Amino acid sequence: MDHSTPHAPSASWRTSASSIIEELFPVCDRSGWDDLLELRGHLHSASSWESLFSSFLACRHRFERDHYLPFYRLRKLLSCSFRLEVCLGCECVSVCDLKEVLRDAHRDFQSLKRSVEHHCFEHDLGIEDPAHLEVQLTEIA
Amino acid sequence: MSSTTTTQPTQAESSVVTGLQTMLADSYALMAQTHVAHWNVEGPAFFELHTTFQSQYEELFTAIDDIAERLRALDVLAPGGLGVLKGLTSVEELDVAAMPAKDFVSHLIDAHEVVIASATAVRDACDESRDLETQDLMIGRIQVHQKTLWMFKSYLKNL
Repeated sequence: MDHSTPHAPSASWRTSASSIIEELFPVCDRSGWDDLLELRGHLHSASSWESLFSSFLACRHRFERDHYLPFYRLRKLLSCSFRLEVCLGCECVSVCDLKEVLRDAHRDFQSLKRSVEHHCFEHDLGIEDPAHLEVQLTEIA
Repeated sequence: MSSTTTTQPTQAESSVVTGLQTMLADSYALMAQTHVAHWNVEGPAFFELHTTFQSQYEELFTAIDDIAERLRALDVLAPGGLGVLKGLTSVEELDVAAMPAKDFVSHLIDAHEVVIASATAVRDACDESRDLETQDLMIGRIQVHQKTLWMFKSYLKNL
């Protein structure tokens, strides 16, 4: 099976993302199926969005080299469906361009968080310590 | 006493015209985005992609003219102007941003698939209206876009 199915914007981004993941099973090595199953599971019943992103980044790290297009499409869906905010206490100090953040191939969500926090710290003189920052993912309705 | 009869287009003929207008707008959007990719692509594959994108937008420019002239042959005005065409197309805009060359290619793959879907809809509508000339044009366009998809997808493999 190829990845030629166009994934038009869907009422539910989860449905579109799931169908992309489904297409990956037959073309990916069986040893990686658990990772794909975990990602699919997080799409439907994510206990936290961080787990979903961690799972996505892990699969991307493992499979993207051989399957660039489906991961590009997943990246596009995620960046259109989530808002990434950097907060200091209760105050949102920055809204990141998730599309741009996901262009970098972070290995996991912790690495993504650190990169975003440091970027924010370097560009905002009002922030004294990046450790005080909190990165939050919110699903866009 | 003279009488004038006006032949109304059938529903099938109207579908062909509407589909051709969408196809024109989609092709125009794809051409513009291929041009942006030609300008902004960077990296080790710069020379080959820069040249490939140029040959593609030049080919699309000629194709768009053929589609517009087919509309005129059907006695319909061809849509034009960036605002009008943007309203007719469902091809997503390419970000003006530094990004990996593979992202330019992936974006254009999605855009080519939109154009193929539009051309396929017109090709099928032509069956009912027996408009073999428009159908021939659409089949030619589908072949060109499918070939481009094959090349782009091959490029993305194991990079």
